[in-house]
Amino acid sequence: MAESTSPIIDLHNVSVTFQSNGKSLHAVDQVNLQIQPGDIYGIIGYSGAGKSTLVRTINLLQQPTSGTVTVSGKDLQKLSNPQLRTARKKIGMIFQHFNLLNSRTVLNNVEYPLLSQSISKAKRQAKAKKLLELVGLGEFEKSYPEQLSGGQKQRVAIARALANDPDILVSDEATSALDPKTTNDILKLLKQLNETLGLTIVLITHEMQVIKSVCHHVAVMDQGKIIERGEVAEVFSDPKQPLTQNFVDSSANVTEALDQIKSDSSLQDLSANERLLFLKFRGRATKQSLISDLTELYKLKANILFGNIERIGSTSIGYLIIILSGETKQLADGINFLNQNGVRVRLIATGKKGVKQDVKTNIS
Amino acid sequence: MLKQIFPNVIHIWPQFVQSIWDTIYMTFWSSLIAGLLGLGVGIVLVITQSGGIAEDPYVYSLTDKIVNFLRSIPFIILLAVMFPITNFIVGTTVGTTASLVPLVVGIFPFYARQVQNALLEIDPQVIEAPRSMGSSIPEIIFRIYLREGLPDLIRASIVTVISLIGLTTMAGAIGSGGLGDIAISIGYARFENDVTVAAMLVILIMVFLVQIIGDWLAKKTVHL
Ligand SMILES: Nc1ncnc2c1ncn2[C@@H]1O[C@H](COP(=O)(O)OP(=O)(O)OP(=O)(O)O)[C@@H](O)[C@H]1O
Ligand SMILES: [Mg+2]
Repeated sequence: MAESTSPIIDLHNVSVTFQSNGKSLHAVDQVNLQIQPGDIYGIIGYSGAGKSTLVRTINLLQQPTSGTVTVSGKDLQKLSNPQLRTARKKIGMIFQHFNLLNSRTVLNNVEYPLLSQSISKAKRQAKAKKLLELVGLGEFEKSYPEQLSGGQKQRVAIARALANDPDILVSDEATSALDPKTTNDILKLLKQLNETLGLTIVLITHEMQVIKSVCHHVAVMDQGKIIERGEVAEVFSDPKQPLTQNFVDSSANVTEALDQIKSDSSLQDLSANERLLFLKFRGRATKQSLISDLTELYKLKANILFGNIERIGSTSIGYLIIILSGETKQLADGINFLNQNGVRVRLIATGKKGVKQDVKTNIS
Repeated sequence: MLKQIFPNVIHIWPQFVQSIWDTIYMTFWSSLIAGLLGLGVGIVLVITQSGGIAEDPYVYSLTDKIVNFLRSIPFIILLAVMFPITNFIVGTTVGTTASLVPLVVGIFPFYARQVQNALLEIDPQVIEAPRSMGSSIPEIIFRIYLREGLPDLIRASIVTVISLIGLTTMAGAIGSGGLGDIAISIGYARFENDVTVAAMLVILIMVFLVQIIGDWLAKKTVHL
């Protein structure tokens, strides 16, 4: 599927500018985005980056201030209102808070998109039932949304989004209100739909785990711009932008561990021959026995405070936070040795000075 | 027994019963007409407001201003002001049918605001979903707003009908007929206090019934 010639979604120079209190806010800034049919394309970014605004231009729920939106070969901005509504039916959408209709049963919710089609009630209900079975909620047709768990509600929302047989499914933080296990189940369902129905999925999230587990491609968004993009394994195994790096780090819980260690006062009074270090390995370096080499070659002792390995595609990224102790000269040589072997070393604290203030500038 | 407590009511019994019917007549028809009008205007306010499904700042601000203007006129003054218009529409200014005109004008802006508030209770995100599914504006109004908002709309309607029963009695001051009329022109003017009290009791019962039926309906319509 991936080798398709023309993109199913083609955003060309799309900008969205909001005017508020006389100031203009560039929520989306000159974005170009091409998504191939059958892809699962992730868009990751922190709150306010403009992700929702960007994907809402895909079905023109948000009119771009400038730029063109082409979906399935049609320039959406040139369509009449009824034509646009027809086009929207082929772009399903699911949301963080599910947005089900509380006055209707689960079955009626899934039937809703079919109400405007001229098919018999029996056919409509049969289709809705089939969709409910597809998402694993066959026996819940008579329930009301309020009687369902978050994960079940999202399944209903997915069934509803599929009712018009869309080519594209846009998911705006669809798993952000769910626990990790339920998130996984929903993501598996999306992946299955992608594989069995050939559905193109655009998936917004602020969690890298979500991107890693289902997406083929990813775009990193910041302040209305896409700052980095490509295949998921490539982008995250060798991030070019600090923000992307940030997502990788927090996904491996490194950010959290660092914060904890930095605020631990007992680690502030290291003795003069101790160094608190943050080490990051990539690829080849993760497979070497560098820590035992330190001990053998430089007589240094390493006390490991934190360790984790993040696997992205075929690459691994290793993280270690250690207290290294030994003679001053040996310490310097040991750190040099690590550097030469492709380990990125960051000094968090030394014996005398305590936590360094400029640690941030050392990270890369 | 009744003869001792309500001697004058018994005396004018047929007229008293007629005035109950008159009040019901005025309440029913003005509820119906003002209800449709208020519902329409309320919907216009909701869909044309900024971020609404048919956003239109001009229509919104015009409608909003008209509603505010009409709501700021005290009803008793509205009754007087409406005289020529009523005469033009109905051909007379007295009687129950003539009173429908000021009643409708007096209550529909109130109801429109109630409708607006009820519909704004619906999460805008819930409206976003059908928009993304290609629903048209009428489809969203009838299948989403009016259904999801139904229990709140019914509660708003109860409040409105109860206010309206109050207004029908005020219309009695200009000879509309009904319980208000009888309470003033007989009970008050002739010092026949039992007539006033009886009229009040009947009105209390009406309010009570509207409240009970409305609450029951609102509960029934949470799920459709
Ligand atoms: N209708 C609007 N009017 C004015 N400003 C808006 C509007 N919608 C969004 N914005 C602004 O545009 C920016 C981007 O918002 P957007 O919702 O696209 O971010 P996001 O990346 O989806 O964030 P989140 O992760 O919190 O959902 C924000 O600064 C937001 O305040
Ligand atoms: Mg968002």
